Amino acid sequence: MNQSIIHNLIRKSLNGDLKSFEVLIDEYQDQIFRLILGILKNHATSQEITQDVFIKSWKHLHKYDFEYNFKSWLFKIAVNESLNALKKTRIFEEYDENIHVIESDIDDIDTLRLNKLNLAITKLSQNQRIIIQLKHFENFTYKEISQILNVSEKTVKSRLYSARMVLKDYVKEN
Amino acid sequence: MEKKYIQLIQSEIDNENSLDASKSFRELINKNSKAKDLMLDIKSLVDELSYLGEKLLISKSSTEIKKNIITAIELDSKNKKQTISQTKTINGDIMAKSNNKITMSNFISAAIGAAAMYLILFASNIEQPSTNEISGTIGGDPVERAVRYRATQVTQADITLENQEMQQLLQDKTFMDLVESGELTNLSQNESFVQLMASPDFFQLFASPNFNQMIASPDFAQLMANPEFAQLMSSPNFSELITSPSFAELTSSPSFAELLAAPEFAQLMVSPEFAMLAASPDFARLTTNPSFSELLASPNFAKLVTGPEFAQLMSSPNFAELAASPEFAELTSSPNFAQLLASPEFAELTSSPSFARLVSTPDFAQLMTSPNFTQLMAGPNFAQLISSPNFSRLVSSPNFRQLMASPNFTELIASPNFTELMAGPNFAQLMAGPDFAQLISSPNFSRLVSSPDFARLISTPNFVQLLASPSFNELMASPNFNRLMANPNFHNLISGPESFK
Repeated sequence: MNQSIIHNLIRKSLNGDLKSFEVLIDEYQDQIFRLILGILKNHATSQEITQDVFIKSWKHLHKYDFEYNFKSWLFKIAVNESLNALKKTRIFEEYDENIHVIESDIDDIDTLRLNKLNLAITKLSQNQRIIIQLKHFENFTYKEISQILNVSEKTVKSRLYSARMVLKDYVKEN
Repeated sequence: MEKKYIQLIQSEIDNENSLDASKSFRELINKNSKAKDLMLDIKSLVDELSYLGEKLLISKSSTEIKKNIITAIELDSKNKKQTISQTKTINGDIMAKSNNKITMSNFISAAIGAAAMYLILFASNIEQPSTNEISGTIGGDPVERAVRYRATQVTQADITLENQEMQQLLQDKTFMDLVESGELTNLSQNESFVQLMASPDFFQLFASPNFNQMIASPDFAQLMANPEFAQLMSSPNFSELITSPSFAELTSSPSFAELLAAPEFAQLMVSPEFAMLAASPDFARLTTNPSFSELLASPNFAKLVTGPEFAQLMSSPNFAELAASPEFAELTSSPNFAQLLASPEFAELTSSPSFARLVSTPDFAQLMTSPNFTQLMAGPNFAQLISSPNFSRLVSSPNFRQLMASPNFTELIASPNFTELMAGPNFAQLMAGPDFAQLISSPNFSRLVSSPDFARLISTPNFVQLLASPSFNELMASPNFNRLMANPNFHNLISGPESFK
């Protein structure tokens, strides 16, 4: 969905058109959920936080700056809400196993390798994990990531590099 | 390798380099083999991560999420508008009780939870050194005491509690037996318990003046000391019920939370009509009637309430007048009423044996004619709650029906102390406030009440005896104790990871 369609939906939502907002929910719900699940690693809580993200975004939609990428804006709320949830409830102690599953249409060797890499991601620090998710699963640019995480682009590059090095070493060792 | 070269390589792989930077990158790779190796390593990993991103099945979020979001937004908008429609129902009495019951069930759980938490705090205190010994030393040498930063922030007034009501409780034999049994310790190590203690929901409730007023009220103390309450607590049915997955599901269901948070619910709770009805003996008598529970638990009841005819009748503008009128003939002449009577749900309900049994009891008749009941029905708060979609969703859930079918609830509701408590202003205020609803609907709370440790503790005879003991009740009613509970520093202290070690 291109930005002009998205902006149109936002404008309609701002006028109280819930149907337009529903379209935005449909567009981003799964991606937001995937990101939150990657951070919290708990299905039930991730569902709750996903709800909160959209409710919050509806309430604060008037604050949205049309110069800004809407997806980044939404993801920024998602990251903040997830980190707040972590602080509040210590749910990181309650990991769900197999939070992400590899598709079954690839051969066993590939599956094994990807599972190993997937496992390695879960071993990363919280900051590193979020960066990897935003960069590789959601394809955000450095600038967008820096806006989402409220850090400099330099920090983004540095965290990304250290996360990649940890992953490289882990995959090599295992 | 220099940082600037590393970033040049990484940015090239991530397509973030400018044309000039790309040129510099190519020059670097051509003359520096280490740089080339690093580039290959990162490239290979990035390719692998991209492949992983493609092959990871997107964890589909539940379809419920979207529904809940929309409902929450609609509710929010609706609350802002605050449209009031005056509606009532002849069948309203049945639902009025169902509403009471759901409140009570939560209240009971919260009371037990609160009591258990108090006890655990005391138990932890017994095992821990006294206030003076809380500080430790660095390096084993008593040169300087390392004072735990949170402990110093609790005021002296809070700590004086230990010398009075606390000591009484600590010397209570029942309490000592409970501590020795290990049940308290088990629960204090339970992850859900620790999480709940650390959650803002828990703290907000404990810090709310309404909650503190309520637990300090004589009505509350009387309820705790009530043998019927103790009987209920110790009954295996009750522990089974509140620790059952269905109870946890019910209390954690979005519709339940929505109902508790609905302004209609709060308004009804603080209405004087509700308080009067809750305290009336007619109401108590009816709720102890087994047919009453049976009816509420029947699927026909849920079907009727959620049927379109019912909603239509409820929203009819002239229904309020009709229901308030003693002339029943006028009511039956309403087209909405006729539609309801003709609906299959109504027929099913009225033809069910539980309905017939209930309406034929003198208790039912007495309640129907009681002035308290009529007043409640005539007020706008009740009608608003009953006609809210949250209420319909809740009563149609199987979890709700299961809860309603428990005979223990009716026993408690019928006890005079309980109805007195319900009718008191403190209880109503607590129910109407957001803190209680937030705690009850928090996932931590549901997880705690459904944990086996919690079930074991509350079914311990010592625990039940202790709840009923005067020393415990004195402690709960102490203003110092309430202040301590409401002190944020104390909350920080007890929710710290070291508190339960």
